[in-house]
Amino acid sequence: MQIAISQRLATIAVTLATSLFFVILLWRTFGFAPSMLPGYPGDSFFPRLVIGFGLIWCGVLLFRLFKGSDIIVADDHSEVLVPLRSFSLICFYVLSYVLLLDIIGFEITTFLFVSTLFATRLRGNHSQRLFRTSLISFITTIFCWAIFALVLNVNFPIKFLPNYIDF
Amino acid sequence: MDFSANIIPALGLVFGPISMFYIFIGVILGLVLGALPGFGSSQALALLFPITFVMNAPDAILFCCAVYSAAEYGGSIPAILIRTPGTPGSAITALDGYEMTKKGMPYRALKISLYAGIFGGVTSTLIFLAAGTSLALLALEFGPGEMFALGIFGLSIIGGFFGKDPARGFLATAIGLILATIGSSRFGGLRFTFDYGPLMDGIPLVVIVIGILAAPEAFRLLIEYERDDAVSKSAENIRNIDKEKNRVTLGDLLYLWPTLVRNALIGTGIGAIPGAGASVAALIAYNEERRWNRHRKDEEFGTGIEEGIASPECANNAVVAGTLVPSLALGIPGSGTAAILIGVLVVKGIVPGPGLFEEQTAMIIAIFIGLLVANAGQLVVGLAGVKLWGQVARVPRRVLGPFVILMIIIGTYAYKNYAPHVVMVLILGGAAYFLEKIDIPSVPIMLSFVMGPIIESNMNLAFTIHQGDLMAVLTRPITMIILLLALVTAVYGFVRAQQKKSVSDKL
Repeated sequence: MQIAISQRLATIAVTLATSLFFVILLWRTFGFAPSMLPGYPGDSFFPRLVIGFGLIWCGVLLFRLFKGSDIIVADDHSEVLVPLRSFSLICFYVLSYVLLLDIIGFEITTFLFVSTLFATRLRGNHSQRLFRTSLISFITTIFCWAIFALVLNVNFPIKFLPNYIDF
Repeated sequence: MDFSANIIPALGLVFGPISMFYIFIGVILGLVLGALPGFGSSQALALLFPITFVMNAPDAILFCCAVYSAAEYGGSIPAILIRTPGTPGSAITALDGYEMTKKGMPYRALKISLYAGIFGGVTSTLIFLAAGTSLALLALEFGPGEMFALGIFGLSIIGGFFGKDPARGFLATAIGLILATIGSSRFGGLRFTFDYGPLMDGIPLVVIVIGILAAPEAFRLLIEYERDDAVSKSAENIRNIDKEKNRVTLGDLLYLWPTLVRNALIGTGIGAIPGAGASVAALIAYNEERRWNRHRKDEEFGTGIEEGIASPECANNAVVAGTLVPSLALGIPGSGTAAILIGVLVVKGIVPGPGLFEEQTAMIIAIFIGLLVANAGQLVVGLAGVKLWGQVARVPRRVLGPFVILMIIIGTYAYKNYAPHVVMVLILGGAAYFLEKIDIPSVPIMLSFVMGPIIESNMNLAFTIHQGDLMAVLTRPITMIILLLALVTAVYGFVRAQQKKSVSDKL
C-alpha cells in the first residue's frame, strides 16, 4: 500500500511538525539549570540559539510554500509516494528482532529475521524458494555469529552456539 | 610538528602486522561495498563503523581511510560495467566507462579507472600532509572565539550547499544541532531527556551515523527493490571479451599523464572545500578535461575514450585526502564520510582540530603513510580481482536489502548491547528516508551533529573568558572576518540555488 501525497502538502506538514517540535523544546529549555560560572551563558543558551535558528528556517519555508514561491515545490503537481505498508512491515520486523533477541536467542531470531525478509525476494517456485531462503538464512546466521560473537567478541544473547572458541 | 622525530613511530603504526591486516581488509571491504550499486563510501563506512570499536585509534582511522579510498574506486565498477554508479562521484565515469564496455573493453576501462584513481589518491595524499600542517599551524593561533566562528563558517557551507535548497539545508542543520544537545551538558545539567533513560547519555554518534547514512539506504533497498532487474540485462557486455583489446600499456599511462596531473590537483583542491565532495570534483574535472585536452575533440567525450574515465576517477579519488585537510586540521567535516572519520576519532577520545597535529603528530603521519599503503593495496587487490568485482556489481538490490538491515541492527546493538539504540536508528533512519523524499537533505543533520559540541564548547569557553561579553567575543578581528565569510557563503548559497531554479524554469 502506497500513499501519494502532494509534495507541497507533505513539506508543509513536515515543516509544521518540526516547528511544533522546536516550540516544545524551547518550552523545555526554561527548566534547564542556570549558569553557575561567571560568564558561562548557561545550559539553555546554545539550544535556544539553535531553536531560534531552526524556527527561522521553518518560517521561511512555510512562507514560501504558502506563497507558492518555493525553490523546489512550485506547484501542487509533484507527488511524494509514501510506502506505508512496506515501511511499517520493516519497522515491525526490526522491533520484533530486538524484542525477541533476549527471549529466543541470537541464532533463532537472526535465522527467522533473514528468512522473513528473503521469503518474498527470491525468485523460483515454492520449494526452490524455501530451500534457498533456509540456506541463505542459515549461512548468514553462522557468518554473523562467527564475525560478531567470535571475532569481535560482541556479547549477544546466544542460546546454543558457543560464546567463544579457544583456538 | 616535528616530522623527523615522529616518522619512525608512524611507520611502526602503519607497518605493524595488525595495522596492515586492517588496511588490507579495509581495501577489500571498501571495494566490495563501493562496487555494490547505489552504495557509496559514506554508507560503506557507516555500515563498518561498529567494527572499529575493537580497534585502537590509529588502526581504526587507517581502516576507515582504506575503506574510504577503496570505496571511491569501487563505485566506478558498476558505473563502468552496468551504468549504475556505486557512488555519486562515479556518475560521470559511467558516460565514457560504459561506452568503452559496450565496445568490448570493460577491463581496459576498469584498469584505467584504477590507475587514475590511485594516481589521484597518491598525489593528493602527498599534498595533504603539507597543506594540513600549514592550515593547522595557522589555526593553532586561533582562540575559542575564532574556533566558534570557524564552526559557524562550516555550518554555513553545510547548510548552504548540501541539497537543492539552502532553506532546507539550514533546517536540517538546526535539527542536527538540536539532536547534539540531547543528554548531559558539559556542566552536568540534563537537556531534552524527557526523563527517558536511554536519552540520559545523549544520542551516540554511531547511532546518528548509522541512522542517517546507512538506514535510509537500507529502507530504499528493501522497499524499492523491484526496479533492479535491468542490471542483470546490461551485464551481458562483460562476457566473451578480447584480452588484447583490454590491455593497458605503459604508453597508455604516459599518454594520460597530463590528464592525471591536472585532475589530481582539481580533486585535491575541491576535496579541501567542505561540502563540495567527490561528485562535484568529478563533474568539474570532466568539464575541465574537455576544455584543456588538445588531443580530443569535444564531441569525442562520452563515446568511450580513456580521458573521459581517467579525469573523473582521478579527481574523485584525490578528494579523499583533500577532505581530510579541513576535517583533521579544523574539525570541519567536508562530507558525510569525513564526519564518520571525525566520529571515529571522537569515539576514541581524540579531538580533531589544530591541536591534533601537535599532539598526535605520529598518528597524522601514519594516516598519510596509511593512505599511500591503502592505494598500493587497492592496486594489487583491484587488479587481482578485476573479474570478481564485475560479479559483485551484478548483485541484485533485492538481495542486498536484508543483509544491509541485518548488519545495521547487529552493528548498532554491538556498540553497547543496548536495544534502545536500535530503536533510535530505526526512528532516525525512517525520518531521514522521508525527509529526503521532500528534498530535506539528511547529511547536514549528521555533519552538524558532529560539529555541534565543538561549536558549543568553544562558544562557552569564549564567553567564560570574556565574562559573558558577547561583543568582546564577536568583534575580535579574525572572528569577525570568519563570521562575515560565513554570511557571504550562506547568501551565495541562496543566490546559487535561485540561479539554478531560474535556469531550470527557462528549460
